[in-house]
Amino acid sequence: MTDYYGMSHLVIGAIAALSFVIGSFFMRFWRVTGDRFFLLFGLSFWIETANRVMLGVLPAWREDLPAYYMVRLLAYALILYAIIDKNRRRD
Amino acid sequence: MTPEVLTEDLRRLIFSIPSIPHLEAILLIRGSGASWDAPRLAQRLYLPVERTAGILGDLAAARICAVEPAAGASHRYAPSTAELDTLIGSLERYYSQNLIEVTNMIHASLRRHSRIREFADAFKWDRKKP
Amino acid sequence: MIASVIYGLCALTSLLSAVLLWRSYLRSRYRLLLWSALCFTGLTLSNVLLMLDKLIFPDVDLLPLRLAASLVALLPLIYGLITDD
Repeated sequence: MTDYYGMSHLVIGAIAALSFVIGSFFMRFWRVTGDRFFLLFGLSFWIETANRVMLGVLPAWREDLPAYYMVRLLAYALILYAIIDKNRRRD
Repeated sequence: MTPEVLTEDLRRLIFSIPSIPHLEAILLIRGSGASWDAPRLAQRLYLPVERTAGILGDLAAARICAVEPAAGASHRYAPSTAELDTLIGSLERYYSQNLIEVTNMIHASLRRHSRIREFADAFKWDRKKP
Repeated sequence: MIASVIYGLCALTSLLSAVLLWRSYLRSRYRLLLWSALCFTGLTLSNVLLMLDKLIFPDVDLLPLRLAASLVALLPLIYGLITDD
């Protein structure tokens, strides 16, 4: 039973779910430590979650869509900013 | 003497201090007005030199102290802003009035967050103390 | 075209994260850093595959491979976060 599109949706769903949980862990770390580094990581993973969910749910949302890769860029830009921010102000 | 108030800024400053020796080093260097190097600080705080060297490095990175090139890796008190200096002044007064509370705050943030903080520290590109 | 540039940036970001995490893990041996390093290495691979998919192999669909890479990449980090003490 190799249902190509079904399989893709399954894996995309799994990726979305795991990203959500990972993001939630980082959000908890942010709440506990107050270090906004973790907020940025948490948001990054949650943005990727939203992106994957939309990919699976909205027919118009596709990988070739500029909006899709802009959202992905945003998620990674947050991680980049988190790293730069952590090294800029050590207090 | 009016009791010092624990403002949000002060609380954040206290939670950002990695250890009690760091706190003592800051107050010591600030109060003496002189330059300190790692061996001298080690002698005063009863710590190994590697530890005090690390502390001085952290203080320089946090822009609380600055290195004096002439005096050979000596550090003097040089806060990056006047607000920081004022805040450290409040810290000094608050610490003298609430020694146990401040000590507990520093130890609590250490114990609870040390593992999580290690994750965040991994993303610093200059070398961590081993 | 611009998509490939953006995917390239994503790959570089995850590569940077992976490098920093590996370096710190080798120094401190803190387990969670290992799992995170593995995760970001996998994410880098998945981003590289994405670039290859769009740029080098337009007729071959690397989607199943990419999705598998992304999913497998997340597993060690989830495991590490849950079992961290």
